[in-house]
Amino acid sequence: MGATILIVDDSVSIRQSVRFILEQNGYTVLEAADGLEGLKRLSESKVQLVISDINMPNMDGLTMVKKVRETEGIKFLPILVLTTESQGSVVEEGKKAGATGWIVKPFNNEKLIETIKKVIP
Amino acid sequence: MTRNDRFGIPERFIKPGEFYSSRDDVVISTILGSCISVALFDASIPVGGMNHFMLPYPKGVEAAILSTSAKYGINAMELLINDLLKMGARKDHLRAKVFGGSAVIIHDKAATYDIPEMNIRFAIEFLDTEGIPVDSLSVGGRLPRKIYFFPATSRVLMKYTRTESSALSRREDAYAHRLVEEASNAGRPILF
Repeated sequence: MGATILIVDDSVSIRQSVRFILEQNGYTVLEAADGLEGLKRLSESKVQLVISDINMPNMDGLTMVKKVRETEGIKFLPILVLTTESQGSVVEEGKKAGATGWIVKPFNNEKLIETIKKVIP
Repeated sequence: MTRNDRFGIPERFIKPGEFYSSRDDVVISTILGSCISVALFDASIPVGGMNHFMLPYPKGVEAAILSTSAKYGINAMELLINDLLKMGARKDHLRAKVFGGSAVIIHDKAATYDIPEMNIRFAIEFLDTEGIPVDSLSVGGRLPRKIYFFPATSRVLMKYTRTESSALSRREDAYAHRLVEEASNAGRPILF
């Protein structure tokens, strides 16, 4: 039984395409449409890794990362940011917020899985 | 930006792989062969933008939206949507107009893989999946399209053009090859 990964992205298409690749590689997938929903999923279910977008309504990805880092029990949960943002200053902001890693879209399937395996072996 | 004398406003021409959005009284233009342009707008602001993209190569019989190639289309759409959101648009207010996907590229895969058809299917499936209503649609056929999109009013002027066909086909082909190249060395993940 593979690890459970939460995908947080407001785009249904992105959630579908990431889910497809993760499930092909044996992972169990949960979905959330924004940061608020992401936090809710994390409070309900045991998750080993979060893959999150940044630009989302209600609560953006970096705010969600900060909230997770302040929450007992999920403080150390690995979070990979998956975003169209590639600017150094935004990446730096992500690092400061406490993200575990940064992947720029459009991502390469093999590299995504490789990175996941590094984070949750 | 150049000035368009016919409309008396600034014009921004977008090439394959580019997008542009604005809240101003400008015109965004492009010429499409087998590529797709989606014009998106939130009339309540008003703000609008348009992209110009294609899916570079086929991938089996998966749904258009799940193919590897579709990631490049999804990305083109997401870049435009994020830009519009940053300018104040709301995703649930967005509406779309879709153009392109004509059969102008003559290439080696033509026999087994219909690029324009794949592009059209992708655009329609994507907008449907994201719940973005399509107000107008002009796709398919064999002639290139010249598009003028006015983001401030969401109006579009479109005409068919015969003149640019071969240069256009070469340009789109070069763009498709560039995408495939980029795909093989796409974004190296960073671990902090």
